[in-house]
Amino acid sequence: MSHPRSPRAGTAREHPSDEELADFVDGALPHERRGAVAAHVASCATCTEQVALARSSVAAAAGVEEAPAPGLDPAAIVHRSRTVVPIESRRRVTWVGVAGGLAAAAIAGVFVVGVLHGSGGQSATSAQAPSTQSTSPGGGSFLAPSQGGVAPELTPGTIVSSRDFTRADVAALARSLANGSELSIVGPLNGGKQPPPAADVATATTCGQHVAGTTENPVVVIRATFQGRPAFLTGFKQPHTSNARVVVTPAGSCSILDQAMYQGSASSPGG
Amino acid sequence: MTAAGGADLPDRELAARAARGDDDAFAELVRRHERRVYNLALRMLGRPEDARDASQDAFVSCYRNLARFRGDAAFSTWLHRIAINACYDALRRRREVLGLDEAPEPPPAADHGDAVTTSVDVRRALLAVPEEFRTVLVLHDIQDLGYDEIARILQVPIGTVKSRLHRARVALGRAMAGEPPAPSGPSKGET
Repeated sequence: MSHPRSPRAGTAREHPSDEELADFVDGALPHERRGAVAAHVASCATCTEQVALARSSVAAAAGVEEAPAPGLDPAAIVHRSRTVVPIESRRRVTWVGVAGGLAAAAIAGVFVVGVLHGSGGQSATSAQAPSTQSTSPGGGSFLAPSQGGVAPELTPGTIVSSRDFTRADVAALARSLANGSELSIVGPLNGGKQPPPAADVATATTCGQHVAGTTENPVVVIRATFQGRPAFLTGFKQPHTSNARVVVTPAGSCSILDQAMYQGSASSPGG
Repeated sequence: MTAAGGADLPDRELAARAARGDDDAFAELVRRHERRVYNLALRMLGRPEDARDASQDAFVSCYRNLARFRGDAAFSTWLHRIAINACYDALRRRREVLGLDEAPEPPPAADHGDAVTTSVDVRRALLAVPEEFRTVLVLHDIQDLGYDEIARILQVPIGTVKSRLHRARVALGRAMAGEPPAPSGPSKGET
């Protein structure tokens, strides 16, 4: 309650505590307190309103129907438990509205490609990802294919880049995606490299979705290095907005190396 | 393992077996508790896909920590605690990723009747209740847990549970009436 009161009402003029009002609404007050609290509530407009609100809440909550069981896959949970880095140990870095990174990224050797729009978009330079090898410790996705929108059914533009990304580069990439500009700096590209294993792409995607809180497929997945470490950069665009997120993970792992979010201007071109 | 995947065994025995590597026992625990965990997450997070993710996170955490479950509390109490933490993690991630104090909640599909408070209205209004209060309201008024068990789950005094419950109810009532939330903060004035 927002108005001053004593912790326990001794007279009808003193407000009952929140604890007592909860019991009052439930009809669970001790007999010796029932009369005093009822008398106060009847004479106090504030408490009368609060009790009325609380009772309407109780009635509404009682009408909330229980949803059916989600049908989780215990085997997938066990597999994930054994193979994926615990979420508690993930390092998260969030940048919002980071500026200046784009210029830093636009250095010699940068390769410019058309930005990918929408789920499953393809770049002219994208590499298909055959499951030819898997060096990831977890062997790939930790979610069962039956798990609907969360499971990675993607084949987004998967780009192999020779760039060693910095945090500024990650921020610049998020900004490019958010603004939907014609330029998205992800190079220099290295088309000669072996495409990444599909399982690693799936893991990066699923982890990115988890961190980004989305079931949307990424608009771009980049296999490169981040601060010298082999990594995936997974880019998402939030539907109906100009917000974009980039999540950086090591190959085959959900340990978050970095992430950036950029809120683009509403007038920027969409997909 | 007994027939039917240990369906006749108590949670504590299943947990002990799962901790020794019996995945069938763990599967039975998941089957037995997933609906309650999912519904808790659904009321805390709003979006079914988020609730499903949080439920999976909760069971992953449960599996990893089975060896630490000593049976001092009921398995369901222990699992509730894990599930609530998974929900708080999910809510924190939303805020971190979006960089906002309070992540915008996507309203569930609206289906307004003229004078009828629908379940959808309640679910939407519930998201306006501060997290700590929402937890208690979901556990008590929706999942019908008693004060004692909620106090054990949250590891707070019963008086705190009741205080948070009243505040949650008032906040939900205001939200359903379309009123702005009260100015007082989540932990102000708790016993």
